[in-house]
Amino acid sequence: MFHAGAADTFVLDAFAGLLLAQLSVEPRSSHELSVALAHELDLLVDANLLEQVSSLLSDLYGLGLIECC
Amino acid sequence: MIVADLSSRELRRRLSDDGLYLHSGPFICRIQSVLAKVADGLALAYADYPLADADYADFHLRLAAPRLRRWISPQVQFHADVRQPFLPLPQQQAYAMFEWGLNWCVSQHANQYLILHAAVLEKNGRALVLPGHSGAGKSTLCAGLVYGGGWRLLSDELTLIRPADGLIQALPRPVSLKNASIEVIKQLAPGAIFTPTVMDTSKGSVAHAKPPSDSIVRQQECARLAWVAFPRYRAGAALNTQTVSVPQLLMRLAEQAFNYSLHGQDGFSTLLNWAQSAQAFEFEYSDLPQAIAYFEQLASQPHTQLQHEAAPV
Repeated sequence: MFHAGAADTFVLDAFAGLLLAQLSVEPRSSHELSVALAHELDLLVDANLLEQVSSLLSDLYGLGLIECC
Repeated sequence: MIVADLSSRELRRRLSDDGLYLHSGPFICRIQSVLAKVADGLALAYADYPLADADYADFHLRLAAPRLRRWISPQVQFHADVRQPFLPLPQQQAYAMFEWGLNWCVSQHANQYLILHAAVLEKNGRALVLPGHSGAGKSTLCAGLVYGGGWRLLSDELTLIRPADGLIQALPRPVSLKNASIEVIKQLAPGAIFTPTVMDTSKGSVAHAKPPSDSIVRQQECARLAWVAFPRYRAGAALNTQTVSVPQLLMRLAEQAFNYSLHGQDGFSTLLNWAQSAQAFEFEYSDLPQAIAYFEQLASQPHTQLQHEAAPV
């Protein structure tokens, strides 16, 4: 994906891409995202998924691709 | 009128006076120099290039001897308009310095194009791009395909992409060969014309091969990308190819671009379109005729449009 603000290019895996696509619709909490992704990918909302989403959000924030609100 | 139409005397007069104006791909270059090595190199390697009217130039190039080193160990200084981007070199490298200097001018200034550090050739209306770092075998493979395989030379060094339509703008220039590659291509194509080999440059021994006339005649003709091959010469290796994925290709092309960031979203979109439409692969080889035969077979196959499911974010 191309980040227009930073004029930089990133290669994301499918999971990160899906999460960003969810976030591009509207701001969501980590839990809301986990529920949405679980629904999309037919997964259970468990501690593992919550941890994975939380970790990914942290990575995306570190890259400047998302902001806290 | 082409450079070969000028007598040696007239060529030198223009070079030492107002300048020699010639068309090189989409650019007009004005070249000034009183140095015999420059005149001789141009007469040989640029014989087929069309002359341009002496009223406009994209690049104003001058090669001159620095005043203090005119007689003892003479040197040459490259001037691009009012800039001197390089340290002087021994004067016997004057022609090579002209070629390196013109590469610098294009890569630093022609930002209307997305510019890749890659050779590019065309056959049957389809273009083959060969990105590669120095020593990967890019120029040798490029020269082999041009002089031994009949491919049209678009450039041996700089791939110019038009962001508006993704087409490749030709910039055929003399093919730069180094060290053992010079003899390899001379043996492969005994009819090819080379500038004298210059020893002890920063790149080793260097010679430039005159592009085929057809490539110059068709230098305004663009080409559409079909293949990207990342060449790697390895002595004794069997010919081997390995597919490069779309994301990998996009990132590797971006790494090879001189001005990717400058083009922003348009640059991304252009390279993404390229990555999604091209067949891309690693290409390891050691036997040049075998490599030429491989690409000949590739060019003879009907084009297949690649399908990719992933949509860009």
